[in-house]
Formats: sequence, structure tokens, C-alpha cells
Amino acid sequence: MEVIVSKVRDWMSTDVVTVAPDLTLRSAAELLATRHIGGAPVVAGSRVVGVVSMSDVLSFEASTPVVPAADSGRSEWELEPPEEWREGDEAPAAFFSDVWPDAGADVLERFEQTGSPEWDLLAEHTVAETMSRRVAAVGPEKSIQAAARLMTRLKIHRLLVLERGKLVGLLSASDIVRAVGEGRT
Amino acid sequence: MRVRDIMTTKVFTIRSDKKAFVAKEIMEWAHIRHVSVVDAGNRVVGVISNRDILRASLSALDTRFAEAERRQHLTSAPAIAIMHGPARTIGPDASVQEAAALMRRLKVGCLPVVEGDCLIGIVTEHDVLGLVERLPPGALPSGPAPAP
Repeated sequence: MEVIVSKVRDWMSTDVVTVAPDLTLRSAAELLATRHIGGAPVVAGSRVVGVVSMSDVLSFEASTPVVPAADSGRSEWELEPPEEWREGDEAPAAFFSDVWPDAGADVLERFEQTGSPEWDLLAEHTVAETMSRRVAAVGPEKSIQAAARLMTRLKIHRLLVLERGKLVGLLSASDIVRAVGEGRT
Repeated sequence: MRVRDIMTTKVFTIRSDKKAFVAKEIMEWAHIRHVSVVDAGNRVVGVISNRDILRASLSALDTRFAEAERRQHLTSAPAIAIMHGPARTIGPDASVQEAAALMRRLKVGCLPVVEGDCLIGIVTEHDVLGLVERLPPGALPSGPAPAP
């Protein structure tokens, strides 16, 4: 009898919210909050160039002077392929390691006070300035076991699913938990 | 496979009346994402996850309050004020499949494991992943069941 291998493609979510690198942090924060997600892959054209998380956006605020200098040092991001993660690399980006808070409402409530200086600051900077360029990815034809092994090794909660450099989905730890819940383990 | 076979038995707890920031310090120190909250009788009453901490930090950052007041909020709130509860728990003899289905349904990343009134462990998404990586091919269904 043929053994059915449960693949990443079978359990990944394909409805993935992405952001462009030149999107302002303010728009990115609003988008993440309204969609109740903690982060998004950063896509330029059809290629993934990085990942950004709500905590990156919030810490960007915290670590940046409230009144930016006239030349805020907005750097041009360059379109390079993202780097793949390897064991032993520095801590994974928050995008992969955060348990995504369903805290969208809290963040929105906070940002409703749009008169605040920090809110203006977010409108003056872009996703490219705070995104992480190192991504953890898996192919759609890999087994769920292989994806679980990668998440465990890297101590992360989600993986980008890339096929020939193109984003085709997102696989989270809870997708794998779902597979177990529907299985016969 | 049963919950007791994959659960973590080294459990970190905080008393519900202790300051919430202690839970944050435990998480940072122990590199964990969940701390169980117990009452004076050592019964589990809730769980503080790192997202509860983030949520509390966000409300503490509310710009309507002065800086000093905000810092005060974060350090003075008791664990019970920021935890999510009542705790949804599972028994050690439940199947891993049952635990996984419950985690998914409740949208939580962990379940305290309770025998009688006693907290004996915690089962997390990562414990489930640790099991999955050892499963033989064919042990998992080939795709989600159709929505009812």
C-alpha cells in the first residue's frame, strides 16, 4: 500500500498578507492590526525580500528619537535575495519566533490617538528600515515532519513556504498542531 | 501516544497575587513562553503567555497616561490581572491528538496538565512538534478535513 506523506502544501495557509518594502510603518501597523496578525513577509515584485513583525515596528518606535532629524537617514534598501537561516545564526527574527498576539484591537486602540508624535514618526519611515532580511523557509513538497524538525531546531513558530523563490504560503506551528489533532497519533 | 509522554514536567508557576512583571522575568530567564498562574492552594487558575505580557505592555504604553504612571502600571499589576483564565487544562492520560485538537480549538499555545487538583506538567505546541518530527511517514492525514 502506498504511504501517504503529509506535505507542507497540504497544511499551509495560502491567504498570506504581505507588505511592500516601501510601505510606511504606520500603514504596516494598521494593516497588521486590522488583520489581527503579528507580522508579514515583505515582498517586492514577486520576490520575498524579508519579514517584518509588529514587535519590530513597536521597537522601532521605542528606539528612535520622538522628533526625527530633518535628514532621518532613510536608507535605500537593496533588492538582494534574503539570507537563509542556519543553525547557530543569531536569534531568529521576531516574525518567526513570536507567538502572534491577537492583539490587533489593542494596538489599533492605541494608534487611534493619531495626534501622538510616535504616530507621525511611523509615517516617516518604511518597512525596509526595520525588516529582517534573514528568513526561515521550507519547500511546499517537504513533509510535515521535516517542517516540524526545522521549527524545533530553530525554536520558531512559523516558516515561509517558498517555491523557486516565490512565496506560496505560510506554515505555522498551529497548522502542524491541527494536523495532529485531525490525525491518529 | 498520551499527553504524559510528551509533556514538560519542569513547570514554572507564579502565584496569582504576585506582580505580573515577575512572570516576564521568569520567561526571559527560562526561555519559555508560558507561565502557569496558581492560587494559594496551588491550583491552576490561569496562564500568562508572552502575548499577555505584550498586551499588558501595550496598555501600559497608552499615551494618555504620564510616563511614570505607565511604568507604575506595568510593575504593579498582579499576575491575575493580565493572565488569561480560567485555565483550560488537560489530563495526563488524554491522547496527544485530543490535546492538539483542544489547543487548536481554544487558539492557545499550551495546556497545563493537571491530575486531580495537582499541576504535574505543561504541554506546548513545541512538545507536539517534537513528537511530529519523529512520526513515520503516513502517520498524519494528507490534508485538513473539510469544514463541517
